[in-house]
Amino acid sequence: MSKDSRPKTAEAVISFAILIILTLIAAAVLRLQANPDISRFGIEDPADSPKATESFDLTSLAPKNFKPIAKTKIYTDDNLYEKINGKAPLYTEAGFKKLHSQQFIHSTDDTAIIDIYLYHMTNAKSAFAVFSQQRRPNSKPITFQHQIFGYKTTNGVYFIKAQYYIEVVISVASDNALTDVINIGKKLFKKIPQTKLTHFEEIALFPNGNLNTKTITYSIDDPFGFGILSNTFTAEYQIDGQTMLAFISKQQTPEQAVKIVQNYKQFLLENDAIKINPSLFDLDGMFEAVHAEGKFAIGIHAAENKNHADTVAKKLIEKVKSHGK
Amino acid sequence: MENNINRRQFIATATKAGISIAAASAAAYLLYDKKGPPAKPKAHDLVTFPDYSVPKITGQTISIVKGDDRTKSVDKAIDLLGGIERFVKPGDNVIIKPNAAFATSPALAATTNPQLIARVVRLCYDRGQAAKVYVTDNPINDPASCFTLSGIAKAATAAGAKLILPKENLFRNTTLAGAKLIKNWPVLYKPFEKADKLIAIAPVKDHHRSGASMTMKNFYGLLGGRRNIFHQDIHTIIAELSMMIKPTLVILDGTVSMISNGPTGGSFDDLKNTNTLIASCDMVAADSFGAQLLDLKVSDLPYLEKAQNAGVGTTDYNSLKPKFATVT
Repeated sequence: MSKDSRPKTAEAVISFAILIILTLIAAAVLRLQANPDISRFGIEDPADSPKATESFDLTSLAPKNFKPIAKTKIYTDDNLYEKINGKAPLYTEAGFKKLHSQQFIHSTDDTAIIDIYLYHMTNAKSAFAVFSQQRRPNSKPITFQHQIFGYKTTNGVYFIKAQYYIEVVISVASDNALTDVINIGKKLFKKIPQTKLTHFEEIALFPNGNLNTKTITYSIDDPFGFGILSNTFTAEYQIDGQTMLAFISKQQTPEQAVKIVQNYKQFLLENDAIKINPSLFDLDGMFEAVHAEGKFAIGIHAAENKNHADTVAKKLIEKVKSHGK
Repeated sequence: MENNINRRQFIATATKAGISIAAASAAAYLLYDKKGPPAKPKAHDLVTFPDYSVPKITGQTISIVKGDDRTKSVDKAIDLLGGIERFVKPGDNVIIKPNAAFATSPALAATTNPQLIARVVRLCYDRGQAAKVYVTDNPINDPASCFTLSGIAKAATAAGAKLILPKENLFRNTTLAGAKLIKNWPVLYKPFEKADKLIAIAPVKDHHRSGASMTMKNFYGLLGGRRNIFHQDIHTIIAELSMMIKPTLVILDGTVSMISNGPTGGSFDDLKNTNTLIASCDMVAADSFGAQLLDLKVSDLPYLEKAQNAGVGTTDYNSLKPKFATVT
């Protein structure tokens, strides 16, 4: 029996068609990987994204009379816990990429140790998340060039630039020691590349009166543990010694903001909150206000006073509304 | 069946077959694991920590001393429980477990204060007549730097203790009966194997994940391996650690407490002079009292109730009739 081992025309055509389809699928996957849709897959802003090769040698930052204890060490999300142990989740859950760390020791006083932590986060919002969640309440603001997100304590400086969060601390308290760490901060600030100034539109939407600007905080996930909000800025207000948190959570669409607000109200009612008006609730003696305005879900959380909650909520709505005009 | 192929077809087919065999062989070579999978430890290879506890004496289980001088505070706190002689007998080998988790200065209070280490070592030798005192911990990240920069190495060795760095050969696997997490897991064991007594000394610290790091959380430092996976269930692991190990005495140093941004801290703004030191044979009671130094309630730290339910100790420290004192 004779058999022609060559494929027939139909088989060849089908095979080529399958190969072309597979090639197109591969091309589409590669294209999507190269141009991710941030709105669907995360909050990363490509303009803020770090270059994979970006690396810092921090040993040259040693002040006079200090020497490096070792070379600059780099940690990734695989081993960050080795350096900062139980605080690692704070960073990894906020979009951690890499940590450069460096220690210097004084040449004659071994109690004087300088620690530099250069946290490379996913984007500026990630950096602001870890910066704001650790802000020391008694700190004083510090500004490098036009950078406004920074502060100093008695023994350290803390700031963000682009997608980096930086801590420089020293283990002794003196004016000279603080000057040394501030100078390191300045040098680091210059070293870090930045394509555009960091700006978060939500921060400008908090009404000014009674606002404690030091308390403005950003959370990627739910700041109140309700399992509803995400991508949320919060800020503390204090009126007559009574406090509350205002919040602003920007969504992709106005419809999503409405949905978030509905879920928030539903959560309150399921937890036995009493509805005072369509936007204001009494939850175990603390007051919650929630409202959708354009793409923003906004409101008041854990207010001690109903009237104060209502007042700040109205101002917040007004400011967000005028922002959208 | 006829199967005529010409020379050209034969060479092409043979070449393809050869390439396929070569590729498969290369892949097999590259993927070949010469060591093979590690043998699972057999049940009899698993270790269990000795029980270092001493008999309880009613009214002498927990002492709380107010003061800003750690040396005076720890002397008083131990005396209130019957003196170091109650805990350390002549000829004992004593192991001290500090919190040496970070390569930071003692001024930042992220690690056990070296003054306290030195004092307890001397007490063990001078009044307890210990044969040998050892100090060890597993800080993971460059242990030598952690012990050096924290001042613990210098203080311990100057007082006559032997410092043991956590080398790989000192770890053994353990399984805690009925545990959810501690199953066939490596722990720093060898330095503890021959010890007669265990004294654990920990600072009071805020902790991002668990709420607080005190005497019970201090035993996290015994874990080897990629222990960060336990951060997902931190309260359970802390409770299990307290079930795994039965120390002779725990000392909780709240002379300066890290009240925020723990467990690393970094700024002096994270610290507060809380001027309290606790000594206890019941670490659940010690940590339950310590919680208030961080403005926390017992219910804020679920691992306390878990440990209590497991019979490790009591969160109701008042039921133990604590002894109070102030030193100046």
